[in-house]
Amino acid sequence: MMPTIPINLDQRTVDRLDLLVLKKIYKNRTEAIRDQIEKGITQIESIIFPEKKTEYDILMKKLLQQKKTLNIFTSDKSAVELVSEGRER
Amino acid sequence: MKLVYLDTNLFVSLIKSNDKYYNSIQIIISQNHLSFVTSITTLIELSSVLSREYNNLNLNLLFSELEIERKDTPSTRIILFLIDYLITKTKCTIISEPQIELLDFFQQKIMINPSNKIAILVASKIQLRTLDLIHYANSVHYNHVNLEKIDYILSGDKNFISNGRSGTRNMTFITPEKFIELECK
Repeated sequence: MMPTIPINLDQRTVDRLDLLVLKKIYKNRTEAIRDQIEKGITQIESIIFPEKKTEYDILMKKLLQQKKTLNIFTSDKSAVELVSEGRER
Repeated sequence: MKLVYLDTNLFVSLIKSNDKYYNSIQIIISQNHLSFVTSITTLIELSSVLSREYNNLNLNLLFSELEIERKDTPSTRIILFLIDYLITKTKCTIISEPQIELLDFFQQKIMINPSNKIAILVASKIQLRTLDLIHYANSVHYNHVNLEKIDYILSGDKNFISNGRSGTRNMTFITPEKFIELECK
């Protein structure tokens, strides 16, 4: 269970968040706020604690250390077909 | 050191084990005498493919490899993470274009990045589809401004390869099979 924190935002910020939701960058305001707070904290941490590895860096390193590459596409289409769909073919 | 421009489909092959070029791209990126470049166009295409296929991606596998809970991570973050993984895994350098130039062929004066300008100028000489043309133009521009030249444009897309070959002699368009024969002995 995640803790709930009430916050006050000015109308302009709310409008900007709503626009991100409207443009489907985020599913809802909560997701938008959570993601932006996480990014903001991570950015400031990287300045204040440059030696500290971010969670992102740690996860990426873990994935890169795997000898086999990640097998993530389940589609029956080939890689060429998947890319070609966006190339007018 | 040979320099190879990687087309988008090869990045997709890298994380698709049932793909025709899955083994080929693994062999190619493990070669020590090769270095790789690609362009921002590839980043855009990867973002597009991963977004279109998002609901079919095996994200449970990703989260299990990372040993973290899936929670409600936004799709954009996951897609950017996967693109970063692909670029880092292949040790590929992204061609960046910080400068812009004036395009002065039209009534309106337009500021444009050099690759797009090349794409507009060479379109009539090389019969490529728009995005193929942009990939080619990115490579041509890279060769104009760098001492180190791109030796190959590598793609699994036979249309791109054959149209590229018939339209230009100053760049070698090549399939993974042929490339392995020539460069991965």
